[in-house]
Parts: sequence; structure tokens; C-alpha cells
Amino acid sequence: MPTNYDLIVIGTGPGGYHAAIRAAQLGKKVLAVEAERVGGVCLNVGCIPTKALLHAAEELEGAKQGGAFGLEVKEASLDLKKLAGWREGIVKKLTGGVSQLFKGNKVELKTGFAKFVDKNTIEVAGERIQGKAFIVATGSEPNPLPGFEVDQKEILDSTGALRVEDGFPRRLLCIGGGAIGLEFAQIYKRMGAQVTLVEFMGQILPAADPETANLLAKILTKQGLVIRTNTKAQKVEKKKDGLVVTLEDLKTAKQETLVVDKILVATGRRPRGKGLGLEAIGVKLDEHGYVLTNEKMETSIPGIWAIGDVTRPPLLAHKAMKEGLVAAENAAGGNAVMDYHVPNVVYTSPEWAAVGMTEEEASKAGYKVKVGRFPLSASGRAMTLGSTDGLIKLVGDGETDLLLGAHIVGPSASDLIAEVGLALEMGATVTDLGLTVHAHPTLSEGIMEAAEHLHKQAIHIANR
Amino acid sequence: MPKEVVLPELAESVVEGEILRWLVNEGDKLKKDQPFVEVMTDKVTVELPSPYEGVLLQKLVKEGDVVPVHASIALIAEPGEVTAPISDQKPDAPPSEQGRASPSLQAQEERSIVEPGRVIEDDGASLSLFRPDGRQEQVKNPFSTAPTLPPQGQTPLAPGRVIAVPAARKLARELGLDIARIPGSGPNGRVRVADVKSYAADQGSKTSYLETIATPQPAPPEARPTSLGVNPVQYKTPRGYEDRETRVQLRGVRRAISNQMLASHLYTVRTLSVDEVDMTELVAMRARLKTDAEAQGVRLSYLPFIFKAVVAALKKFPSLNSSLDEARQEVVQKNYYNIGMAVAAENGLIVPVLREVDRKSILELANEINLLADKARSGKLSPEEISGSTFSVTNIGSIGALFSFPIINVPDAAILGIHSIHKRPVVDPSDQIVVRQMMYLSLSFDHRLVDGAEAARFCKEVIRLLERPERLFLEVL
Repeated sequence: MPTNYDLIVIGTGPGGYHAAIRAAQLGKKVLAVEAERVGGVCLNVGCIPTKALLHAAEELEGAKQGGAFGLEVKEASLDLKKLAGWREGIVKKLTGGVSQLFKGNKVELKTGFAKFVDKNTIEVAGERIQGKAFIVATGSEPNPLPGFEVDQKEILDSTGALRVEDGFPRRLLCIGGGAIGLEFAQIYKRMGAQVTLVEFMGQILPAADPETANLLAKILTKQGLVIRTNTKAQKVEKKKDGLVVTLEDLKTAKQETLVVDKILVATGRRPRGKGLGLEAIGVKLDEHGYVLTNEKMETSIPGIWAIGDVTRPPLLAHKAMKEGLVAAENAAGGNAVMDYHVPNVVYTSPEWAAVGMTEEEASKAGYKVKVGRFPLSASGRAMTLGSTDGLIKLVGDGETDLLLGAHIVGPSASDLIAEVGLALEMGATVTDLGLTVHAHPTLSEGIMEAAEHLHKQAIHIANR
Repeated sequence: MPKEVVLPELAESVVEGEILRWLVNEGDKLKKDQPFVEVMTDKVTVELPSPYEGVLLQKLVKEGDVVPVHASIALIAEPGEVTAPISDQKPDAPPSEQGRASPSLQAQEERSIVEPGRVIEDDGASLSLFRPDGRQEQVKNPFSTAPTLPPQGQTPLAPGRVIAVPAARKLARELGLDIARIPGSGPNGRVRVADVKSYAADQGSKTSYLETIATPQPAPPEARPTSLGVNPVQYKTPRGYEDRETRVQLRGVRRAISNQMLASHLYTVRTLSVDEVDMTELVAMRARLKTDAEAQGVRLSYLPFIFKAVVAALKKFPSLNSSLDEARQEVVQKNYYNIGMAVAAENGLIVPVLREVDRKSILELANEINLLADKARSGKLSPEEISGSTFSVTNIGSIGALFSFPIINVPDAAILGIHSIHKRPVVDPSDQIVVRQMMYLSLSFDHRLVDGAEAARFCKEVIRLLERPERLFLEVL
């Protein structure tokens, strides 16, 4: 007699473990199935270890650049073995924490690759397990780029790029100007590599607000990164002096070669929706392998839910987490929907963050778009941080004053964006942001000032 | 331009309908008069025919929504007007060749992070994950205020999106309310938790019937819902019993019944009068007439006789055939006799109405009762067939309670419960214990309109006629 669970969650990444724990909190008997490591991509080889490396790189850079206020560090250097150990320590602590949370909430954990036998049964490591409901949270994996087959030695994906123990290459080519490409480009640059980043589209972060995306590109270029947009990596040949990459300028159709030691392929990620037997039991996937769901995270088969990267972009851990809660609550008989604004962050320094609509989206949606800007060069706090490159930009509706979105480049943009996220959820007006007292001196004052600027009433900048 | 389809007036006095089921998907072709959506009004289900030929562009209301008459429910595009499915549109990328697909895939994927857009829900094949490039002209929905399903996690603040705080959205969902219908008191009509609560309280105490006939309430509106204790009650599952309960949405007939019953409970002063009737003679008479009726193809029950007796009694006691118009502070006495007949249909109680009972023969009534009961059980009643009762009868006896306290079918003033006929010992006028065919009657009446003595006299009149059924001949027109 196979064990029968109320809910089986397949995948224990951020979305999966949120779903499992919430369902357990709601009194359900829950099994979590993990094919690899508890915590998924985010905790093991994604968000968390990348941020650890970014921080180390930033501290190193800070030590080197501290001269402006008199900080003298004779020779700043990083012990890469210690760095790797620190990174692993954080990962272990967090993944161990997830296992502890499972225990604390009586979520059972089983290791193995789950495959659906029918819509009430999965097979894991040869064992058939029955569940009344399932949440598919299998996530995503790096998208391969034809001609640039990842070997994790010379051609890396985001997982291989995390390995820092053996030192950094002298020359790196990053293919892809999304969050992953930009973050690794900066880590490697700050660790001493010459880094070239190519992006196929006309700007880095192609979907983002062009003004802030281009500003970030400008700042990163100033830091020494070579960024080439409208550029395609055609092919690579291994030669004596390194990897010879042919690049094509898509505007002029001119080709040239670039010699590097390693290549990072960061051309997006693809869903892990196939191979689970989902299609065989009638769950609909789209042509890219994304599992189709509605706003309640239900798939086309009742009782089977899907969340996170495997459903549809944006491929973001915090989106997956919220979707996990929505699915778990619905699977437990509740009535939740995913109707929230999802912020998007790039953790370079300075950071880039956005939530809500861009100007273009707002005007397409029929709003009378108004924009308020506050450059960090006018912020006292930014000056004291030695980081005045940046911009806080708000998008609002000229008719109703409704706040529509925010786009930020600057230190702590990832934290600043939370205020705007809350404001959007609360249906705040731009005036509301302007009238809220922000502590001085802080970077968050910039949000208040940008709001005032939208109404042509900013104090510290010209109101044009 | 796509055409808007509105919920038509399905019957007189019907002010709203519940969208039960969409019969076609967005993007499906429609012929003129092809049924495309199932709507329930009061308790009757109708399939609406499409007023136009074309393509169903968009459903503007969800299954389970209660929609007022004349509200838009769908957009239908004229034939030839429909633009290519989203997935057919190519992103505005440089001419593609082999090997170029991957970077542009990434680019598009990234783009979709922040671009708002809608996804066609039902058609898996046409559901495009990646949306057309922003620089290319997009399929522009001319009705941008209509709710569309945004990609998950990206609810763009499209015009018409309800501005509501997250806690209010959550509460509305839990109460089964459509946030779009809740008036917000904040800036830009922002809906706050308090708005949802007061809307819910209003909903709980109103029904379509009350909205139509009694809009100006004499009592102060803010005092009404709370003082009557009809704020929606949230049921919380006791700890440890989570696995042993199932929950289903309150929808369709069950919701209509719930609203109607609550209205009856709240807006009548329900009082009970119980009596018994000796049916021995009627049982004998019906046995004699049964074969005659069968010869004409009619099943003859006791109901037509009871209906006849009831109408005769109503003529003598017209207060039981009246309604109260609270708005105008008037008592409406009806000089016609339409008798509602409670039927236990498979999906719930329904009350079809026999019209002009005083002008029909026993045989005609018997025939009509059978027809209406069959229609009720097969769910084929029209809205007209369940409205306009002046008094109702509920036959509890067919299932077998000793007696019960019926709930008034508002806006009627009273309802008569009739029970099973049983042989019981009775003391006759000569003090002998005899076996008689006895039946209980329970008259439930609105004490605002009917006095207790009147109700008792009404019952006595019904009893007088049924105990000596030949007296009914005296009432024949």
C-alpha cells in the first residue's frame, strides 16, 4: 500500500520549499521531492552564491578605490580558497536551514527524480507514491547556445562560473547582457580579468527601461567593462593563445575576432518542464516547455499546480516564492491568486532595480505619462558613500497621479525598490510618496525627491 | 470594431444573472444565434444566443460572476476583423539565421519580464510565451478597460485595473466578491479593507428581489446589516479536522436559494399555524376519479384539489394573497391567484408557478402540475415560469416529515406546508375511535400582513373544503 500524501511538491527551490511549508502550516501531509540538492538553483548555484562573490568583489574594489577619502591599503588581495569556503558556508547554512524548516513543519523529504505515472501517482527512485495534489516546482536550467557548448572548463555557464577556487581567467567573454551576464562580468572584472560582454539586442537588460539600463551600461563601462550591444557571438575556435571568438556587429555586419581565456554563456534559462511525464498525464506545456497555468497556478489538470521558473518568466526566486504560497493555499482549499507586482533586480554595484511599468508600457496602456527623476549626484548620502553614479526615476499618471512604476540605478537599489513595490500594491499616488517623510540623509530621500520632481517641486534639482 | 454583448433582460423583474458556464472559448467562431454562455437568473438557467456572427474576442466576466442586466459580458469581433494570433507575430529582431535564435530568445525572455501583455487562456497552441517586440505594432484591444488576464506576476496597472490594497483583494477573494464591483473610498477609487467589509455586509442583506421592490429602506442603511447580524460569517475549520471537510464554491442554484432564504428570513415576520385535516373523503374521491383522469392521459394527485381549496380560501381571506411594498408603505392585494409549487429538483429547491389557478379545471391543473414538475427536475423552466407567485404550497409529505415550518417565498405573504396522509385513530362525533386518513397542515405567514386569527380561519376554510371535497363544486366558476 503506497503512502498517500495530501500534497507532493516536486522541487525544493525557493518556490517549492515555500509551497511545501505553507501547505504543511495549513495542516496538510506534505512530501517534498528533490532530484539534486535541497534549496534548488537559487540557494546552491544561483542567487545566493553569486551575491556572496559580488560582495567579496565589491569589498575588494572598495579597498582598492578607497583613496578618495584617504583609505590606504597597500595590497588588497583575496584568498580564493577562503572565499570559496565562505561561499560554501553560506550555501550550507541556508540549505541546512531549509531542511530544518521541513523537519520543523513535518514536511517529509525524498531524494530522487520524480516522474508522473498518472495524475495521482509519481515514481521516485523506483517507488510509487500517491498524492491528492501536486505542485510542480522543477525550475529552470541555463539555455544552451549552439556553437558554444559548455564544458565548465573553458566555456562556462552560471554554475561553472561560480567556481573561483582555481583563480580567474585573464580574459573573459560574457555572452548575454541580462542579470546573470552582468553580475558575473563585474565579479570577474573586479577579480582582475579583462571582461568583454556582448549583447544581441540594442541595450543591456533589453526589456528594461532604456534610460536606466543605458545608465548602468555607462557606469559599468566607466568601471572598465567592455560592453558591446547589437553584437552576436558567431563561433569560437580553440587556438594556442586562447579561445578565438568571432563577433559580428549586427548594425554594420562587420566581423572581428576576440581572443579570451574563458567564455561565460549567459543567454537566459529554459524551463525544466519536460521529462517529468507531465504531458503524458495531460498537463499542457507550451512550445518552449513552460507549464501553462492560470493566475491561481492551476495547470490544465485539476489537482496539479505549477509554480516558479517552470511556468513562465520572469525567472525570479521571489516570484516563485509568492507563486508557491498561492499554489499551496489553493491546493489546501483556499482561494489565492498571483496578482502582485514583481520587482526585478540586478545586483551589480551600483545595483539596478525596477518594479511596475516603464514609460513606454504606461503610455501604451493609455496613461498620460509623467516622469520624475532624481540623480544620485544630488544626494548627500550618495556622496558620503562615494557612489554618486545613479538615478531614481518614477513613472506616474499625469491625470490621476497614480504611481505606475520605478526604475533605479544606485547603491542599495534592491532595497529601495521595496518601498515603491509596497506603494504600487497600495495604489499610492505619486503625491503619497512625496508627502512621506524620509530620513535624512538616506538614499531613499531620492524617491521622495523624484516624486516631487514629477510635480516640478523638487528642492535639490532643477525642475525641468 | 468588436461589438459588446450585454446581458439582456431575460424576464420581467429579473435584474441580474449569474454566469454559469462559457460554452465557447476566446478566439472561437460564433454563428448568429449560437448559444455561447449559460446564465442563471433567479433559479432558471438559459443559454444566451449570440446576437452576432463573428469571433468571441474576449470574455468580460468570469464564471460565477453575478452580472446586472445590460452589463457587458463579452466582445465579439466581426468576421474578418480578428487579427493574427499573438504567436504568429515575429519579434522585431534582425533577420534570423541559424544560431541566432538563442540570443534573441534570451532577449525576448528578458523583455517579457517587464512588458505587460495578455495571454490567451484557453488555447494552448496560440499561447505565446514570448510577446511581440515593443517596437512592433501590437494587437491593441480597443476596450482596454476590460479585465484581461495578465501574465503571472506582472499585473500591469492597465487602465481599469482595480486599485485596491492587497489585503482588500485577498479579503474580497475569500468572500467570493468581485473586487471590480466594490466601490473604493480612497484616492482614485482605491478599495480598502473597510470598503470590502461594508460591501460584503450590504450584499449579505440584499437580494435581487429586495433591490427591485424595496430600494428605499425606511431603516438607516448603515444600521441595518450589522444590527441584523448578517455580516458574512467566516467558517473556520476546527483544528485537526482539515482533512475531513470538503469545500465547494457557493454558486448557481445554491447561491440563489441562499439569497432567497436569507431575504425571507430577514424580511418577513414568519409565524406558524398548524392544523390537521381529515382527508378520508378526498382519498376516496381521488381513487374514484383517478381512472377517469388516466383515460385522458393525466396523472391525478391530491395537489389540484388542495390548490383549488387554497384559492377558494384565499378569496375569502385576501390578506394571505398580498404583498407589502415597504418603499411606498402600501399593502398590495392581488386579485389573481398564481400558486408557487415548491419542487425538490436534483440541484436544489425550485418553485415553479401555476397561473390563474382559479380559472382552471382540476384536470387542467393536474396536467400543468405534472408538466412544471418535470421541467423543474430537468432544469428546463423559463424565467417566467418561476416568477409571479402570489401564494405558495410546499408538499413536504411526499418525503415524510411529521410536520415542518415552511419559509415564505418572498414576496408572498404566506406558504402552506402539506404533509403525508396517514391512517390515524380519531375520536368521531359519536365518541367512537375510528380510523381516518389524516394530514397535517402548517401555514407559515408574514404576521405583518396576516393576523393570527385570519391565518387560523384560512386554514379552517381549507380544511372545510378538503374534508367535504364536494363543496369544491360550489366554488366552480
